[in-house]
Amino acid sequence: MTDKGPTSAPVDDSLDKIRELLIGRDDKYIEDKLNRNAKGVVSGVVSEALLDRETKDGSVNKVLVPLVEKSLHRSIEANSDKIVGTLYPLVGTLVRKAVSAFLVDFVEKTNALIEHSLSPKSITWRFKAWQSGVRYSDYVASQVYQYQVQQLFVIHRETGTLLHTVSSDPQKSKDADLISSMLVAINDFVADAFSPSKAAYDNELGEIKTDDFTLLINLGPQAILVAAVIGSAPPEIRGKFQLALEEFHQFYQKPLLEYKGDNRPFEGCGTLLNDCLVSEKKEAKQGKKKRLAGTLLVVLAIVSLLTLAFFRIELALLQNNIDTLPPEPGIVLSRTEINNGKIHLRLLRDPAAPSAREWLRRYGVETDDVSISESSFVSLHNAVIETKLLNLISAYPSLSIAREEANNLRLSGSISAAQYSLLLQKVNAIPGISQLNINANNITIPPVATDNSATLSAALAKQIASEVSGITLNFKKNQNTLAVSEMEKFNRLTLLLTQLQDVAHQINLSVAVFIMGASDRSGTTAKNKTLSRARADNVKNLLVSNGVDESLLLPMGLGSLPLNENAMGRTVFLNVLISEAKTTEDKNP
Amino acid sequence: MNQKKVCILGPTGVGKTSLVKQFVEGIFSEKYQTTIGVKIDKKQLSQNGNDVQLLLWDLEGIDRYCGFNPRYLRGATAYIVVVDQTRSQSLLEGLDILSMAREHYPDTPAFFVVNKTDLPTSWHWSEEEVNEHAKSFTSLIKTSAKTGDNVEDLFSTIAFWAQ
Ligand SMILES: Nc1nc2c(ncn2[C@@H]2O[C@H](COP(=O)(O)OP(=O)(O)O)[C@@H](O)[C@H]2O)c(=O)[nH]1
Ligand SMILES: [Mg+2]
Repeated sequence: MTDKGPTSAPVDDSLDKIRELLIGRDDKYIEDKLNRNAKGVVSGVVSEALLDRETKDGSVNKVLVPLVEKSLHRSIEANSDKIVGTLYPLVGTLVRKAVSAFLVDFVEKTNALIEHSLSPKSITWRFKAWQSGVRYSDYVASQVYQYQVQQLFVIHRETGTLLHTVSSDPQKSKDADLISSMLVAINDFVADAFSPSKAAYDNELGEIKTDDFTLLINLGPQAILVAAVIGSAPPEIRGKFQLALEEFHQFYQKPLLEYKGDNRPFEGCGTLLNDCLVSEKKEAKQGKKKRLAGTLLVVLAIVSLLTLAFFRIELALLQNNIDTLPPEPGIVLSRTEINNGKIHLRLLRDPAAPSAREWLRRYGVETDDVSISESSFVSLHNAVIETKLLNLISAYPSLSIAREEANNLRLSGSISAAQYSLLLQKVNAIPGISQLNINANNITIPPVATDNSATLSAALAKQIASEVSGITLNFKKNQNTLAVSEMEKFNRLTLLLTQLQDVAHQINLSVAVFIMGASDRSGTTAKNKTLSRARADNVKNLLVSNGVDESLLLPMGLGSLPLNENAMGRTVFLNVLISEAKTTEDKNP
Repeated sequence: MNQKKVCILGPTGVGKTSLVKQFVEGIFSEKYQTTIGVKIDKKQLSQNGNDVQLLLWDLEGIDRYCGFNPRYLRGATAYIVVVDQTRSQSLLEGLDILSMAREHYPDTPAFFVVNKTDLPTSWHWSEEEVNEHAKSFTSLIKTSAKTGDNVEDLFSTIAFWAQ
């Protein structure tokens, strides 16, 4: 058949030629065409086809599952540390779920277990129960749930060094570092002896039993938590350890990853671990009532321990929260510490900043467990300076303030000349005010309104005069300039005098303000005369520069005052003389 | 305090256990030695006023044929390969061990210890040959676990490196 010699029939040959022309040699054209369209054809029906086939005989799954598993496996193998690290919190939750599922199961089956188990231990128990003449199940009950977690170790997984240990009895914790290393070595040994593959997490030890205690071993990605337990611990304690270990990883993620043998970063983890140092004492068998009371006591103790521990963690979290709050202008947090169940904050606060509690509450921090001690300081933060300015302006209802852009503020409204000068003075007294640009061009200063009721004005003038007469400005020894401490009184004085001069102008009163400087008795008479006069002059000049009409002011130096309290003499005090109100007739005779 | 893990490797009988014993006085985990092949001891040193605690892992049962569990080297700050200057073979085995360790942990400093200096040298290696081999290590120290010669120095050198 393969023989295609020249003697073969020529008819067949031409048919072959035609076919070759039409569809190519070996169906090449058709195949080409098909291949070209294959992607389109398949992609159009692939999902439906997969579904059809899967419903028909389930073979799709059989092909896909091993493929997916294999590639997942490969990627886990290649990045196992990374993947395990990321999955750990998730895995932790799963483990906890599994443990609680196990517990439910456990409780349901306890009775059956007690009656039917035949482990070597149960045989000993049966023997001992028989020996002491109690029912086997009673004996088991007396053995179960009677335990103490004596010591906890947190061990660095890679090096086997001890990161931290807590013990119910501090005397027993010596050599904890050796025990830790030993445990890791044993764990390495076991993992290596029983698992042929490299990354076999499940082959590592869960617990080591010795004659007198059990070591419960919980493995995390970077650290191992080992609990030395005497007696028989209830299974739910595993969950507790697991949780503590997860929290440990969460809290100390960075120091764990950067660990170079220095244990100091882990010193604070006692709070986390102490929760796990639980125990349940054997109850004396003295009647049901006592046992009930005992149980109650134990439960109470455990509950209060747990709440205490809970609060401590709660506090630690809270502290962390506070430490990471966004900075508040005018508040500088200098220290946070936990003490006696409270968080103590030490901070510096500008009086214009919101109160510390207000600040914390704004970020949702509960302040019941927070005690705050603050010292004041002057903040030069623009926001604080602005607040101070706003507070100042709010005392003048006729003024308003608006922001033009960051740090540019515009004042507008109307205000009397006297008030304006006072305002300016106060504004300029705000520390750091030069950091803001304040545009005051929109403030209008109206002429003083005329008051028709002259008598009323006269009464007002008298009232002002008497207040002015009550003002005493104190000076430091041998000083003739006004101290900063007197500024407030001085500002008040300026305000009163400008009002007085306005009123006097309106109703045409003559006013004289005596500014009387004095001194104490130390020094010569001549010197005291000069000093007292200088004090009066300085006050006068200051008033003039703040807009008080110079013609009203009569400074004089009284020299030293013969007072018992010598220091009282270092003053400037004032007195005001006002003429009777002039009537219109007086003015135009 | 800083804790540093240091592994002690070498063929059987070269004096690893004796070195640790000489250094720390008193061996902790005697009973595990045979079971899992590791003995661990600790010793605290002071380096320039900083306390360092060395956790010394004495790995038993390593020889040319048996190999060792490289997991035990995990996290070690340094390891020591001990050989015995009365046995020529121990140097070859020591070099094998070094290359096995290097295979898993190429960057960990390795110290070369020639032990039993209280006995006359009875191996066929010349001083030059030993020095040549020492070049694959971080440093060479000759000790006697029996007289205690250089033992203290060995560990304080390691503590210094470990910082
Ligand atoms: N003379 C002498 N004997 C030593 C020295 N070091 C160890 N030995 C002896 O060598 C034998 C093996 O020591 P050992 O410490 O058990 O070796 P290891 O197997 O490496 O732990 C023991 O009999 C020791 O007494 C040493 O420096 N000088
Ligand atoms: Mg030995």
